[in-house]
Amino acid sequence: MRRGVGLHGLSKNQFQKNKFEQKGTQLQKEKMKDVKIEFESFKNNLESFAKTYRKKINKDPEFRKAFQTMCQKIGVDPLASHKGFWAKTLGFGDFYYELGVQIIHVCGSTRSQNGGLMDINELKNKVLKMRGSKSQKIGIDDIERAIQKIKTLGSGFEICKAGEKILVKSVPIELNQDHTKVITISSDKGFTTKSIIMSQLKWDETRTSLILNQLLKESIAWIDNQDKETSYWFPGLIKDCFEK
Amino acid sequence: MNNFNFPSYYNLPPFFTIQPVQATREKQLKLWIDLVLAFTKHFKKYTIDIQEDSKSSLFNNEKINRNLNDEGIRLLLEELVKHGHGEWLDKSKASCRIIWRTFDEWGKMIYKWADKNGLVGQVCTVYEIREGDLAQEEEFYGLDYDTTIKALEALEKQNLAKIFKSENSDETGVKFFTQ
Amino acid sequence: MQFFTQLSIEKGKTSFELEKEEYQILTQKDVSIHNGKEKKPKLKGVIYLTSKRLAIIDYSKRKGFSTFLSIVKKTNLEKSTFSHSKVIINFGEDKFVTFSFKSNATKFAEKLVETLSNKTWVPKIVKEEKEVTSKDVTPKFGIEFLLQRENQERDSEKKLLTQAFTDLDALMKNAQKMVNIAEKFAYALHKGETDGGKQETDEFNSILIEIGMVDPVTKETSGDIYYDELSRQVASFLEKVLPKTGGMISLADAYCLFNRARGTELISPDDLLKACQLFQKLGASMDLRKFDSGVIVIQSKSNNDEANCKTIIHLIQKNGPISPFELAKKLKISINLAKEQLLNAESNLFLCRDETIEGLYFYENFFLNENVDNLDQKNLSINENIPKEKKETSKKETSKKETFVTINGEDDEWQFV
Repeated sequence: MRRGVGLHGLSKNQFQKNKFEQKGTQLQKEKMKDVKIEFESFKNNLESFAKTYRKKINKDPEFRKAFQTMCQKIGVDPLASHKGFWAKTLGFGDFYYELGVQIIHVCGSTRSQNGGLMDINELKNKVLKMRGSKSQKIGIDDIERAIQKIKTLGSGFEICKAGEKILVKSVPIELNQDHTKVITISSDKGFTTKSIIMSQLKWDETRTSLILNQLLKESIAWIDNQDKETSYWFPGLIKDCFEK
Repeated sequence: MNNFNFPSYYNLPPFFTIQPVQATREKQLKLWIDLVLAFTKHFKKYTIDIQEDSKSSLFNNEKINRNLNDEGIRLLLEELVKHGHGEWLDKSKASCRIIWRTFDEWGKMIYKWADKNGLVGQVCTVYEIREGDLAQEEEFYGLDYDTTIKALEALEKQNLAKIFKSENSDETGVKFFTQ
Repeated sequence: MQFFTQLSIEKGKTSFELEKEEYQILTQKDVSIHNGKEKKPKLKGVIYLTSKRLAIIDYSKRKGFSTFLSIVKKTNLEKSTFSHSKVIINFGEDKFVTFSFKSNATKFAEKLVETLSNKTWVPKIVKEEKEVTSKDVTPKFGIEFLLQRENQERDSEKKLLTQAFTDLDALMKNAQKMVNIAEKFAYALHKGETDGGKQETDEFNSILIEIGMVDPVTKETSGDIYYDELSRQVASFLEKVLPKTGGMISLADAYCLFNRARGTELISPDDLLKACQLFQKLGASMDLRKFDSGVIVIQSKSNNDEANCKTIIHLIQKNGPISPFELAKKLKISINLAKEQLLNAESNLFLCRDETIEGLYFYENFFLNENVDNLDQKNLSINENIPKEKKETSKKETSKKETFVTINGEDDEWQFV
């Protein structure tokens, strides 16, 4: 299964761990006192930062994105817990957690149409509609981060990349490389055919049929048999597919 | 010419192929029902005849060169009937009356109109309801006779009206009671 | 006067209010301002030259005009021995104003020229980007004025943004320091090289939660009292919800419902998961459960698999083979959960599957019919293994390996084929 955007913090900590293990015996006995001092001092720093930038963090998606990226680099997850001082001091916890709720809701309500796979821009638009015109601006980065968080809930939320497009999966099915390849070559026009797949991906009939049938069964693909060759359409890739 | 705004999925080719996968098909049929009801309501179309209407723009999207075949239409009508939005007009299931509003809803609407126009406590004819000047602006204006009667029967059940049948259907009257 | 903003002065005020980062360079009284070459002045009063603007204010009339230096194209000095000397401010294309000085016109003009050439209104940081100045741009004056105004604002915004990033950077450097120390301590803790006892560990865990270090070297999850309390809150909330959802709810749905009910101070997904993991420890009337597919649910203790299987079989006997879609509709639960229940029943050998293009359908498991009859005797519950002899015959029929995992912050319980 394709890996989506992941927290770099994990691998970084692994590296740190190895580094420490190497140093091993050189470490002196660490004092909790030192940790507390550093912690309190940082909290103060954060609070002054918040005085100036709290509003900006909540209003500006770009600034928020830069902030989140930096946190990731140093190995902290500001959204891990609502008890985290980041969320509390800077006040964006509710923003992301609420966004999570909205994403779950939108994905749930469109699942029957797109099989639980949709373009992230579509998702963003639908969430914006839900939130109303007066609410905070949100960026794609915000959506991605909110999805990273709700992944923990186990209902299959995942970011998938298909060519140029970023898709959001919201069902617990496994999309393997073959599925992703088919979706990728369909991402341009929103549909594909067996011959297109077989010529572009150099697959045989069996493999092609297998993958297409699997996608059909999950309602990710819809079939159209009124053309010279049967075509397979992906509503999740098509903008405003089911607007009234 | 009344312009009907087709929903975006009307231009999606697979929409016109009855989906083999059950879960997908259920969703597809739901969307078809929405479309049929909106379309028939807009054009005040009360029945769908498979033979006659297979060429209608409802089931034929020339722009994308797709159409819903007869079998598909029949399946769709079955769904409509199942959901209370349709009634087969014949045993062979070639024609179906479309009920875009339930009889209850029609009844409510007619009563509201009667109330608004001071007709409660009086008798008025079915003709006046369906084709009278006073009802010209109403949605039920031009409603077919049978549906109108069914709507009035729904009101009867709620003791809001009483139907006085006459041999001449136009003269069939109804008296509205206060709530 | 199109390039000037009208000012109205507060009563009692006798000075020109400066904006942020603006400083005063020179003032001169007894100056009048004329539009173009008009004889009659628009205003008479005190002229101000600041790092950003040129303004003239009549305090008796409490009125004034100001303009931005950035849109001034050029300036001339018209010295006169017999009448007032004039400083012409030209905005380009023959649009100009005249300042008539009773005295010190020359001094003012000099300072103005100096200020204009220094471009004092440009913030130092983004000065390079502002090389394309008014000198090069072809004038279209009304718009030009507005654009310049916009540029002014954008520039100060840009400056703020740069400042913001600088501050953010500094903050992160400090954060990094803190993270490093915490990691060192975490590692020492793990190796048992610290002085303190349990209290210290708890305190440290609390700090880790606050910092958001979720995967420190030691992989310590909390023994934090906070999660105990949250766990109780979640359990009591779900106690009311579960009866309405057939005794089972996905963790994602629970997250939405709980947070919606909460309104503010929402909890994070990790918070919820941690809280639910404590159900068993706290003796809640529900369990956290993870299915093979990864789907995590909260299941009421009163709802058990046996009963669910029975319901499903009953439906199949009545209506024929059932798909997840149909089951979901019948039980009014989500497709995810319906599918899990069917898969669960299948792995307990009550059902077997039939996959067609229509979808995935489940039948009663013909091959092991005695299962249905022996239902009560076997006393199946999720924590018990299926007796060995069934395993052999089932190998052919069930088409995939099913694993059952209960999450209690520990590893898997058992597997069976």
